[in-house]
Amino acid sequence: MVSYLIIGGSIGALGAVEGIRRLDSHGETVVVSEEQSLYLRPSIGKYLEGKLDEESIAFGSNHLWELNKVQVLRGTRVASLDAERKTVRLEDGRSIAFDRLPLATGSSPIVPKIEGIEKAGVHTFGGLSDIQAIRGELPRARSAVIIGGGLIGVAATETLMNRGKQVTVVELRSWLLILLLSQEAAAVLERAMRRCGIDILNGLSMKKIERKRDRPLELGGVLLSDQRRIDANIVVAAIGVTQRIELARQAGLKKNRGILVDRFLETSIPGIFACGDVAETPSFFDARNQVVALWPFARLSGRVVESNMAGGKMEYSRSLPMSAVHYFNLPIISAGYSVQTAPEGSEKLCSSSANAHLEVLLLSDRLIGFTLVGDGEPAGLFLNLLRSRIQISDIKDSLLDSGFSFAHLPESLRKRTVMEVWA
Amino acid sequence: MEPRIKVAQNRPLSMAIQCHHCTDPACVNACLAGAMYKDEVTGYVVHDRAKCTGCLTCLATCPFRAVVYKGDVSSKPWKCDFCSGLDVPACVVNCPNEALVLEEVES
Repeated sequence: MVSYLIIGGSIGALGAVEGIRRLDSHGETVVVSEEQSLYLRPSIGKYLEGKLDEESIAFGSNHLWELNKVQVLRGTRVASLDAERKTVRLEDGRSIAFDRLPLATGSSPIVPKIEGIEKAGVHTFGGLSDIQAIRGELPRARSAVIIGGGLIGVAATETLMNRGKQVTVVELRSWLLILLLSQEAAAVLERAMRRCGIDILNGLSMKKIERKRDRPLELGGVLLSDQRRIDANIVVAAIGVTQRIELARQAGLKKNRGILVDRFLETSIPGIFACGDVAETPSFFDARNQVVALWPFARLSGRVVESNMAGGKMEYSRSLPMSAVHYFNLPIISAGYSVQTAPEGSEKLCSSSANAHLEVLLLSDRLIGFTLVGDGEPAGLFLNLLRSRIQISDIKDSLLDSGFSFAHLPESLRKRTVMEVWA
Repeated sequence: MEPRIKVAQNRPLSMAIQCHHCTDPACVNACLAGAMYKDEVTGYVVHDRAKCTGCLTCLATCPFRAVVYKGDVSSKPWKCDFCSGLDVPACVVNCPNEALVLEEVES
């Protein structure tokens, strides 16, 4: 029997391994990953661009992966989980009994149901196998269509543009990154993309994927909902992700979109935890649980899980959506509520210029969210204020000044910040 | 190359902001590319520019606004590296008011 059996081989699992190390646990730990190599998922785009090599995107020594007596079973899938008997059966027939188990199975890209999509030539943009498949098609491809203008879609757009392809983004909704950005903020991004030669088609969907008449194995183009036809030799589907809850469902764990966990990240069955994209954790703002499928939280939640599995009582800092990306030379950083999700009565402060749009949301003079496009510099201070939940009526007028600095934070928060980081 | 230190001013308050090389750094925990790490020997928070993808998550999570990004050609941020290679950091050596001092304290 192993002490800790971690299902999943990405950042949630890494956080869990870090958690073990902190407690200097001697328990045997096994990681089961269906991937052959363990790599940094957010770096795959730069890998396809040739800006990072295989070594740079691997979980390296910085990540303590190979330390701590962790055995990694690569290319291995779990067939079933028996929560009562605390046993996992692998697809190769082996069984592993465990004492504690975190599910860090993550999420996987949704493949839309479109005529013609089942044949080769349509890709998702979630893992190394996608990247290798796209790379194989680059030499003979001139153009690409990306279905979906979310974070992954915009990432795929930039990557394929940098590989010299003519790229069109097709987004069903009215503007790009609609879950993060207001229309004004998204307009800054869309302008920058169009300047780079990207076609953006909002309010449309894809109806059909067509092969070339003379070479039926190759993609020729796509047909859109307005009957328009666009040339495309590569199609990337980036319409969202779905939480990988199959094992949890089958083991009888409580679930919603993700696996429901308490503030210690334990599932409805004691001894079984969940972390990362697959976990639905208590929200920072209210009593509801929420899936935050974002990298930094996956690592931290993994750590909390492992501490608690090892007998600790570490409370998860609650899920606060935060994302930072940098596309088309624009920093795009957001956290907390967005204009679309903000509760009634919240106040919006705004600052706009040709190449930047900054928004801060307040409720009862407390910062509850921000969106920065084109200038990300104050993000860390805003996140600090958001987490602190303190009232900032006396500094709110200077929040969006270019000189807003640590010296503008209330003295109590400055002191607390310094004490915390050196604790 | 960019300066790795900034002066935060809110008159009459004025303070130098550089990396605090935190015990459990938010930037390291959040880095999407495994480029930010804490050197186990020196305790410094180090930025591996070769691995960095320039996503700016470090900048978004630093509670001091100590990560510097100027939109330079590399599109990657800069941070204080404690002037590795120098005995005393340049900011300490050059502070005309001797307001910055290097002192080892018991933790």
